[in-house]
Parts: sequence; structure tokens; C-alpha cells
Amino acid sequence: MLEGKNVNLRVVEKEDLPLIGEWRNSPSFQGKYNLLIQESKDELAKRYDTFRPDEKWFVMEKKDGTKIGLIVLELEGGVQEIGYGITPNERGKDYCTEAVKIAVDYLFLSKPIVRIQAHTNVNNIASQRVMEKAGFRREGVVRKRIFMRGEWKDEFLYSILREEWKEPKILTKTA
Amino acid sequence: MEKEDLPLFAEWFSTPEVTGEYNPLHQMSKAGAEKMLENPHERKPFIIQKKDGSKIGFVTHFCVLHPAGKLLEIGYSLVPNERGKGYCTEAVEIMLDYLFLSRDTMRIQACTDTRNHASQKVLEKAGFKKEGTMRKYLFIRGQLRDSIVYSILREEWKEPKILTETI
Repeated sequence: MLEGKNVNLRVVEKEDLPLIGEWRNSPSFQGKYNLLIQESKDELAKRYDTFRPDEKWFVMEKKDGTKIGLIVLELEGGVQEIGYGITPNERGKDYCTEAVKIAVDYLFLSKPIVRIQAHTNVNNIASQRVMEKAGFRREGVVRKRIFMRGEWKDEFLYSILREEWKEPKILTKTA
Repeated sequence: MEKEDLPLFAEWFSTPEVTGEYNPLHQMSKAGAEKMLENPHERKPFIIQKKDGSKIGFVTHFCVLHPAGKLLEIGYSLVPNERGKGYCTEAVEIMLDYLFLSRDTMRIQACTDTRNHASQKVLEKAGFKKEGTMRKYLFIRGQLRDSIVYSILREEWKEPKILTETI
């Protein structure tokens, strides 16, 4: 488990899948800037069993153990990508920002990569603030990147480079 | 639909009164139901549940394979004693919203027996337009039957009617 000040990241286990499935199938958890998915438990289990080697999901947990969200790590086009989602009533409390910072520390500490990126809808201000507070820089607009909620949507591309990150902010005892 | 729903699904599929006279006569085992979900037509059934949780039917989307591409089609069935209450129409409207919101498809189709007026009303109320008749299309209850093709285009659907909080 990776520990922060107010949240921990713990690798997703099979026992977490029911709750994660509930989140993924819930239009209000996903929110309007995320895909509309409906998955059965079997489909999610199969997804989990067929993760590629660099795919990892983490549960965001508060210090009291409550599960409040998800961090998704995967490679897109050979580049390390981060995704994140948090349950509506825990938003606006900086949990997601800290979770992203922990994930960035973990990635730069564990892999010889020089770049981590993320995409977020051009209208998703809350998510953009998470990116900025976590030290990411907006590189540009990826036009009509993804089909969501009935339309092809534009997204901002954010990235953080190893030389900008410099050293762990949260996982300091592990370096 | 979850694994736990498969026995009920297989039962419905195997009950002539549920599938009705305008559907092929099937007999499906539970194992058969499982296998049906793994087929190349990307069939995905959804259970129709009333607000009190009782399961009253299913609505499915699947692909009709064609050399030039995939056609998205839906099918639906309700247990006899819940018919005529608008449940099926609403289920179809939810399914249309979900499909047009989550996929880049321009067209969704459905077919129904020329004699199945109840099903035709469901499609018409949900905004489908009648395109034409496919003659001797499916073998149903001992004979080759004509089917009517209906379709709805994205520009006719325009925007979600029911899943409005999701955009």
C-alpha cells in the first residue's frame, strides 16, 4: 500500500471488484466527462483478469479505510497514462490531487520513464485543477479524441516530466 | 444481466408463452444461455426490472454481421402479464439513449413479424420509422414469415429522452 497524508492507494483486489463495478456502472460516479458503461460482474472480472503487464488499478482509501475512488495506470501508445475518478460526495477535498501525486511518485520511482501523461475533457475544470495542483503542464488540445455521451469530445493533454517532478513529494520515505 | 440471471433468462427463452407466437420456438438450457453470451454477434441482454425489483423481461442489443460493417439491432420481450403498460416502450427508449450516447453509431434497427402489432407500436412510440418488409425472412413456428424492418437514425433521436442526467 502507498501511503499519503490523507489518502492511501491500495492495489485493486478481486474483492474490490463489486464496488468498482458499481462505480463504473453508475452514470453519476462516472460523471458527464467519462464513458457511459454498463458491465456485468463477469465482464469486469474478465477485464481484470486480462490486464496487460503495465496496467494497474488502485483504490483510493481514506485513512479510516473508506474506499472513495480509483486510480488507473496504463500505457497508451507506449506512453504512461494516469486516469482517476472519485465518488461525488468526496470531491473538492483534495483527495484526488494527493492520490495523483502518490501515483506520480510511485511511477517515477519504479519505472525508468521520463514522461507521464493524462487526458481530460476541455470542460472538466475540476479535473484540470487536479492536474495543475499535481504539477502537470497542459500541452494542448487533442481534438475529437473520444466518443462520449453522444459526441466526439475534445480533450486537453497534460504531462509531467521526470526533470520537473525532480523527487518524490509524498512517498519520501521510499527513495 | 449477471450470471445469476441466466437461469431465469433461459427459462423465459424456453417458455413459448413468453417468447410468444411471433418468435422462433426455442428450448435453451442454462449452459446454452451462457454460450449465447459468448457468440460473435456481441449480444448483450439487459434485464427489464420494475422499480420494486421484479424482473419482467429483457431487452438486448446485438450486431448483425455484414461484410461491409456491423449493424446494431435490438430485440425485446416481456412476460405476458406485464404487457400493455408501457414498460417495453420505456425499456427500448432507455436502450436507445444508452446506445446513441455510448457508441458512434448512426443507425439502430429492429425487426418484427408483420402480424406483431404490439411490437410495432412499441417501435413507433419509441421513434422508429418503418422501412420495409423482408419477405420469408425467419422460420417461425413452422413457416417462413415476413418481417418488417424499422430503424431510427441518430439525427431523429437527437438527444436522450430518459438518460438525461448523463450528458
